[in-house]
This record gives sequence, C-alpha cells and structure tokens, in this order.
Amino acid sequence: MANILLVEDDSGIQKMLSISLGAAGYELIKADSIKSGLVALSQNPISLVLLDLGLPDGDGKKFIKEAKMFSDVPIIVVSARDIESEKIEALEMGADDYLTKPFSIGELIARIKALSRRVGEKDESLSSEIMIGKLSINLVNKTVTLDSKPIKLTKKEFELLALFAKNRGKILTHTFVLENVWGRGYEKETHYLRVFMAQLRKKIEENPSIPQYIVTESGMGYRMNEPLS
Amino acid sequence: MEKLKSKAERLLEEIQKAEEGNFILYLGAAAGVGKTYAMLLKGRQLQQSGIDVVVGYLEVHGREETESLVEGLEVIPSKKIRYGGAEFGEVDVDAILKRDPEVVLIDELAHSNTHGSSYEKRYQDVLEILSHGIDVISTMNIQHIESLNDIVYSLTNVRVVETVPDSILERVDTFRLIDTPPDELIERLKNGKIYPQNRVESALNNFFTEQNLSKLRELTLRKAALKVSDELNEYSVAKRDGRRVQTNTVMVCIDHHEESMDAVRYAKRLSDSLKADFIALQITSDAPGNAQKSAQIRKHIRLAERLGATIISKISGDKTDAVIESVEEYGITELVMTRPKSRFFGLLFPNLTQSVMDRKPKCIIDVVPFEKKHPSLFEQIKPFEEMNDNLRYYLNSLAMLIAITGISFLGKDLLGIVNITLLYLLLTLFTAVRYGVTYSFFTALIGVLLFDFLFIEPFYTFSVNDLRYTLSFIIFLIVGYTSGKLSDGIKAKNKAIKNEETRFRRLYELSSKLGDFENEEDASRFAVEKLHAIFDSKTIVFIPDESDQLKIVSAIVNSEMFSSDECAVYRLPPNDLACTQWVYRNGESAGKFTNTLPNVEMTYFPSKAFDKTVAVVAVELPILDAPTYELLSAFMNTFAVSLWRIGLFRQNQHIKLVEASEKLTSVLFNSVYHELKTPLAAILGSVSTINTPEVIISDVSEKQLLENIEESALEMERILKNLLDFARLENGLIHLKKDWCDVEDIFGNAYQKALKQHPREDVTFSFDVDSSPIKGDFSLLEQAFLNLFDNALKYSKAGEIKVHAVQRGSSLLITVSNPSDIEGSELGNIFDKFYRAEISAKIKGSGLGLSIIKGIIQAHKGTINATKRYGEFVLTITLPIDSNDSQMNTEEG
Repeated sequence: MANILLVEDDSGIQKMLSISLGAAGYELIKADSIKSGLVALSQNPISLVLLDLGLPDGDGKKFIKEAKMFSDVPIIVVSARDIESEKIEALEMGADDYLTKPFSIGELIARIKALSRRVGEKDESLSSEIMIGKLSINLVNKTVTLDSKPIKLTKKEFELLALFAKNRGKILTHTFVLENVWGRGYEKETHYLRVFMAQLRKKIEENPSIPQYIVTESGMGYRMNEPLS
Repeated sequence: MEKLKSKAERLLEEIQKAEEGNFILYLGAAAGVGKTYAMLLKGRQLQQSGIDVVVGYLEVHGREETESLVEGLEVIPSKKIRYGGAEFGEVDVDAILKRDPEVVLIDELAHSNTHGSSYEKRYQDVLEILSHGIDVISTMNIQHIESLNDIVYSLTNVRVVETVPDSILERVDTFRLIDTPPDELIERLKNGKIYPQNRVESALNNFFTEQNLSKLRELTLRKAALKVSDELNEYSVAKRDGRRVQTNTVMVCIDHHEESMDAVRYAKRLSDSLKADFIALQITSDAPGNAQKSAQIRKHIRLAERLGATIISKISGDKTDAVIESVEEYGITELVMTRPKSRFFGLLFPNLTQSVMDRKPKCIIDVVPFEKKHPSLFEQIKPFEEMNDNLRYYLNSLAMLIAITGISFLGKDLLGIVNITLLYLLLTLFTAVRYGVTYSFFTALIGVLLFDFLFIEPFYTFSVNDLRYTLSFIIFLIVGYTSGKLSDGIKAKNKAIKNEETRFRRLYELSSKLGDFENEEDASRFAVEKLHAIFDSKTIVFIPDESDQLKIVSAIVNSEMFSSDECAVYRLPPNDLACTQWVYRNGESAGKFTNTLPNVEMTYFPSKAFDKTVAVVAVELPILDAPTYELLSAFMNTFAVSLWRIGLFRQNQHIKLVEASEKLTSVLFNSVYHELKTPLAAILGSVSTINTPEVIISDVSEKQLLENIEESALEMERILKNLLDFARLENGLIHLKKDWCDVEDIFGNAYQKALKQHPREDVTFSFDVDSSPIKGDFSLLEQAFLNLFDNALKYSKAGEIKVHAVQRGSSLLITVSNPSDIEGSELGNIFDKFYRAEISAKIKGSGLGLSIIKGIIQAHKGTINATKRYGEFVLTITLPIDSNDSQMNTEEG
C-alpha cells in the first residue's frame, strides 16, 4: 500500500481525492500548507506527492525546492495554473509531472502508476535492460528491440530513447533533454530535438502521428509512457 | 508672451478652454449699478430660450426689482455654515454639481467665504464649477480687482479688503460692463434702492460721493477697454497694423553693456507700475560674432525673460532703424534705453540712444543712467583668429593702394592728376563694397596721404601749397566713409533677410512635417535630424516616461544616429544628468551659455506646451546668440506642440480601445452566460436526481446520469478554455513563445484530444503530412487545430475528414476538408465572433472556435480561408515556416 502525500488547501479536492484514490488502493496523507506538507514528508514513508501550487503560506514551488533537498520522492503538480512558464519552472525545479485542473481521476491514477513503477524499479534500472511495452532497451550493448525484432538507431536516437526510458513517467523539458543528450550550450536548439524525435518515433511507434511510447506534453516537453496494451 | 504664442498653441488653448464652462462676469463701478439685476435678466432670457439655468447664490439686499426677477428661476439653497454664533450662507458647490445645470448664476464674486467652508474665496467655488463644464455668470465691482487695489485706495481713500486676483479675470470669457452715471446712482441710493434707509446717510458721506463714483467709473471703463484690446490683440496677432487700442507697452533695448541689466530692471518696474506689457528688444548686427559680447547679451536676455519680458529679436544693419520699427510695430509707449557713453564720442559717433531720440519716435523715452565702468581696452582686443579676416582686408586694401600708386606714379604724365584722383576714388569705392566702412575709410585715408605725398606740390612732403586740395581731401574721406557705411548697411540687410529666410524655411519644414508623426520616437528622430542639419553637432532628445523619468529617445552623437534602444545604454556624465533634470523640473534652459550649470558641454532646452515640459533637448552649440536662441525656442515650441498632439492622439486611441473592449466584454458575457448555464443545469439536475432519496433509480440510470455529469463538466471546461484564449487574443495579451514544432506532433495531440471530446463513429480522419518543423507556439497551434478538428467532428457529415500539410516555399500549406452542408453564402461570416452557422443550430457551441483559430493563425503571421468545394467545407491555412524571417516582425518577448 503506497502512501501518497496530498498538499492541497481546497477541502473539496481533498475530499474527492481521498475517496477516489482510497478506492484505487492508495493511502492518502493530507497537508494543507507548505510547512505541514514538509513536516508530513519528513515524518512518514511517502512514495509520491500531489502538490497544489497556490497554498496559503506561499507558492508550491517552494515546497518542491525544499523537499528535493532531503528526499527524491516523485512530485506531481496538480494546479489550475495553465501558464507554460509556470509549468516549466516547476518541472525544472524537480517536479516530475504537471497536471492541470480540472483533470480526470483516470488520468491522475495513470500518472501516479507510471511514476511509482519507475521508483519501484529503481534498483532494476541499474541493470542493463529496460522493458517498456514491446520495447526492450539494452543499455550496455546499446541495442533496442521492438516486438523482439531489432531496430537500428543512430547514436543520438539511442541516447534520446535511453534518457526517456530511464525517466519513465516523468515529463522531461526540452532544456533537460537537450542538455543531457547534446550537452551544455545546446539548450536552445529545439530544432534538433524536433527532427530527432520525429525520426525516433518513426522507428518505434506504430503510428507516429499518434505516438504511444513518447508523448508530447504541449508547452512542457515529452514523457515516456507504458503504452496502453 | 501672449502676443507671440504660436497659432497651434492658441488653438489648443481654445480647445482646452472649451471643455470648461463659459465664464461671464458683470462688472460695475459700485454697488447698486444694477449688476445683479442684469445677471438675473440674462438668466431669465437664457431660461426662456430653453437653457437650464439655476441661481447658485444671490444677495438681493432687499431690492424689490431684483427679487421679482428671481421668481421662476430655480434657486439652489445656500449652504449654511455656523461660525462665531452666527449662521452664514455660502455657495453650495456640491449641490450645484449634483444638480448639474447648464448655467449657474452666482452673485458677488469677490466674497470671502465663512471660516469652515471648503474654499476660502467664492471665486474658487466658481472655478471648481467651471471646471465641471458648467457655465457661470457672476458679478463684481471694479474695486475688488487686486491690481487696482492701490489705485482705488489712492482715488477714494477706501481700502478694499476682499480682492480677486487678476488671473481670475483672465479666465473670464466675456465681460459685461454695467454702467450707471454717478448722479443717477446717487439718486437711486437716496431712494433706498441700494441700501436700507438707515445706511444711506453714511454711504453718501463715505463712499458714494460723486467724485469717488466718477473715478471708479472711469477706472471700470478703462479696464474694460483694456480687456477688449487684449482680445483684439489675440484675435489679430498677425495684423500688426497699428489698429490696436492704445495700451501701455514698455520696451527695453538690450545690448552687451552691463548697464542693460539696470535698464531691464527699470523697465520691469515701469511696466509693473503701468500695468503694461513688457518687451525686451535685442538687435543683432551683421558684425562677426564676438563670443564674449554674445554671452553678455544672453545673460541680459535671460534676466529679461526671468522678469517676464517678451523677447523680440531684430536683425538689422542699422540699430536705430530697428528700434524705431519695433516701436511702431509693437505699439510701444515707453522706451527704456541706456545713457550715451560720453558727450565727446556722442558727437563723433552718434550713440544709439541719441540717434533714436533724434528720430523722435511716438513714445516716451526713459534713459537709465549708468555708473559701471567699461571693460578695459585690453579686454576689448579680439583674439587673433578673429583678426585674421580683418588683417587680410587691411593687407588687401594696402596692396591695391600700392598697385594703384605705382601705376599712377609711372603714368603720371599720361593720366593727369584728375584721373589719378578718380583711380583712388575707385579703389575706395571698391573696398567699400567688398570690405565695408572700416577698410574704405582706411583706404581713403592712406590714399589721401599717398596722393598728397607723391602728386601734390610740393612733392614728397605732406604739406599742400594749393589749399583747395585740402577740401578735396575732406570730400575724399567723406566719400570713403559714407560709401562704406552704405554698403555695410546693404550687406547687413541682405544677410538678415537671408538668415530670416533660412530660419523660416527650417521652422516651416519642421512644423509641416512634425504634424505627421504618430509616436514620440519618430517625431524625436525627426527633430534630432533637423537640429543636426542646422548645427552639425551632438543632439539628444529626452522624453519623460510613464514614471516621469527622463529617457533618451533619440540622439545623434558624432554624426551617428542612435535609436531609442541603443540610447538606453548611453550614459550621460553626472553634471549633464543633473542638467536635464533641472531643465525638466524648472522648464528653463540650462547648461553651456546659460546661468545654470554652465560648465557642461551642451545646452539643454525645455520643450514646453502649456507650461508643461514635455521634452528636454540637448544641443552642443558653438555659440548661443540671440537669433540662434530664438530659432531654438521656436523649434522647441513646435516640437512640444507636436509631442502634445501625439499624446492627445494616443489618449484618444486608448479611449477608443477601451470602449471597444467594453462592448466586446458585454457581448461576451451575455453569450457565455447562456453557454455555461446549459451544462450547469445538466450537472445540477443529474446530481440532485441521484441525491434525492425519494427518487429511486436503477444502477444503469445512475451510471447514465454520472456520464451526463462528466460530459457537461467537460463541456464547461472547454468553454472556459476557449473564453480564456479568446480574451487573451483579443487583448493582445498572447505572447507567442516560438520554438521549433513538429507539425505532425501538433496534429496528433490535437486529434487525440478532439476525438476524446467528440467521439464519432461515422467519421474518419486521414492525415497526409509532409513537412519539416515550423517555428511557432506549440500550445497555441495545438489549441488552434484542436478547435479546428473539434469543429470538423461536430459539424461534419458522415465521411472522411482529410488533413493535408505540404511545404510551399517558405510556408506550410495546410488544408482541412470535411463533407458539409454549410451554405456558401455563410462562409464570409464564419470567422466572426459569436457567429454560428445555420447548420450548427442544434449543436452546442459558443461561436468562438473559428475566431480563436483565426486569431492564433494570424498571430503566427499566417492566413486562413474557408471555401466550399464539391460538397466539402475546406479550410486553407498557410503558416510561415519561420515567421522570424519574414519582414513583418512585430513579435514580442
């Protein structure tokens, strides 16, 4: 039974989430401010945080910053703020995902699952093989198979895929991807990213127009998903 | 300064004044002349002609005739204020403003309000009412005018306590003079028509003597005439043809002598005591500029300006002429000049004061004595550079003299003595025409000496046997002097005309062009260019920003133009910075060649419209003489008026924008309110069905109701999202965050979301996308295509929705087509806000979808068109691959 910390001051959302997430098998610990949230995080075994940004004692981004100093718990921001710069800022501070209110419970549970799976597999991720759906990525041999058939990737394409695979469920901002695959100084070269992503999708996706593995989160970046079976 | 106000300034003043109420004042010489009566009569007349007139304050003094006039007029009750145990009635400004009539009648303008009123004086109440656009008719007696207070006292021995400043009278639009002859007035007083009987006696003995009344009457008539002459003047500034009513005008002549300062001060006192206009005249001759003299003159002009003088500058070879002309032109009654230097020199070289006096101008001449010493001869010696030309002229004259002498000496016998004389005369005339009086006189003198020495017996001595030659020599010298003087005068005049012409041409160019600009930056750039063209030196324009901080808007430094962005990094030295601030705050020029902060490199001028400094202009000048100063002043005025106009224009535009946005908001809210209410009703209905215990529903029904709730909530979310996008687009608040986007990715995301919103079984999508990435805002483009696909899903007939994307040159061409029944005639309207096509009547929607799409596409500098082709509705969209490359780059952020 995973413990989820909900940092949210709206009682309506609190009530709704404790019922729905409870029904989905999660234990919800509630906090209604940054301060009480940080206390709860430090005192309980928490496997994931749902965080609202507009909190009575400040901006939720402050929570991300402080929490990341002592914990690497995944954080999903759940906010009504629909401004790109705000989202990117939260992601770059260490949030793993960003969900805009209103959202459907189905969507939220899918995101929670994606993130907790990665955390659960943490030890395994040190191993050489990552399996996502029909995709199998060997980090040592740098080979990829789809449906057991090998696919040829260029070096950059592989690095790209590997980065997403290692960060399953997490939204990766353009800046983050460019910096990790191409290196520092390339943060603004989104043109590369678009071209390589299109190539990569052609190779791994059944229908590149409607990608299943790496989806585009508009205005934020990309995220690797476990494809719907 | 009134006289010299530019036409544009006066025009603007008129406009501003027009927004305020009209102010009519009934002026009388004493109580009882019938002012109040006349005011009420006027009020009734206005009322009869359908104008909304109320009485704001009235003192009837128990006069029956007056009281009868009030009947039928609405009276605003006066505000009661208790002070010192008694109760006083004052003008109730708030009540009047609330009542908001067209015209209000307020008696006794000079009245002092009771302690505890919001204003100290009644005229302040009146000003406030006027400022709200209400016309005021008021009354006042002549002795209350502040500037006449002393005169009234000296005339009548009665000290008037309640006075009204003259500035208030300047605000009056129309004066109505109520005149009653003194004997009639006394008669009325005796009959008890003015004061109650018990006060008649004391009034007759003290104030109401026939003598007093006559004097006051004269004063009143004169004051009224003065006002009329002012108006006349304002009316026909251009026609200075001497048809003005005679008023006093004091003029002082300014030159570089230090005595000018005393003269200016004296003239100020004189103009004050005469209540006269004050003009300072500055005459510039053609003589080569002497920096020291110019600086001195500037100093005197600054003093005159500070003392409120209107500066007039004349360029003329003959100073006397210039003074006489000005006296006639400006209707000068008092001319202030300095005393001639000394009698002896006065005889040889007629002093300006002397020569002006000799011309007997039609004015009083006041001569101010001087005591100050002149600068020593040493100080007057010109620096070497300035001597250059002079030296050259002397040497040239001398060389020609030697040549002529040589020729004459060699051909003495052949030429004869008469021709030799004529040769010398010719040379004298030549130098007169070429170089001017100094050199022609010099040539004449040396010529006479050489002629005498070489050609007159006894030869080789300066003595003369035949005494008749002495007369010839004198005539020779006179010819040399007068011809030189004459040619100097002509040259000065020519140059003056030429200068004047260039000046006018430049000003004309400036004013004609400055009217065309729609923003400060362009106007400033133009002004800087023009100033640079005139002075060929460093020029900077500063304009205050919203936070009242001066910013460089345009500059030319080292002949290089700087735009406002580049100027932002330009740092001024601290002294110059202080200078700009000082000029901006004080509205006077400062910097080099002025009395304020003269140690900086440039001279800083304020550009003022209606006493408000709207810009500061810095120019690096080699010299600041009167014509330059005048040119710059005129330039600054024109520039200021232009900036002012731009400001008004912008304000006007802003108001229009606000109006449009308000209208839009109301339409938006009405429409959206309805749109939101529908899904809300569905949600509430479904929830209450489930929650009501009496209603027993099956699990299946419950599930259906819940689905209904979910659908409606999603619909609401969509409407809100659209609204937000729409509002942002409308307000221009959307800042594109452009980045490289994969079109296929955009389509994929939009398609999946659209499908979730409106799943349809009978419609399929087909994509045919061939494109490299384009530069755009991913989220916005996704939103646009989400709306587009959503529309297609909602309105399409069963069939296939085809999406094509292909690169055409530097653009991406996208077509989205679906089978549709839409009428071709409706296509023109579908992009309008809130427009809903006929076929969509049964489908939920706000009518905002397509206008949002259009807004987003246009923000990307793309185009969108709708056509009907073979039963298909086709949307054609073009998007530039990289809109940053296109010329129209107005993107922000």
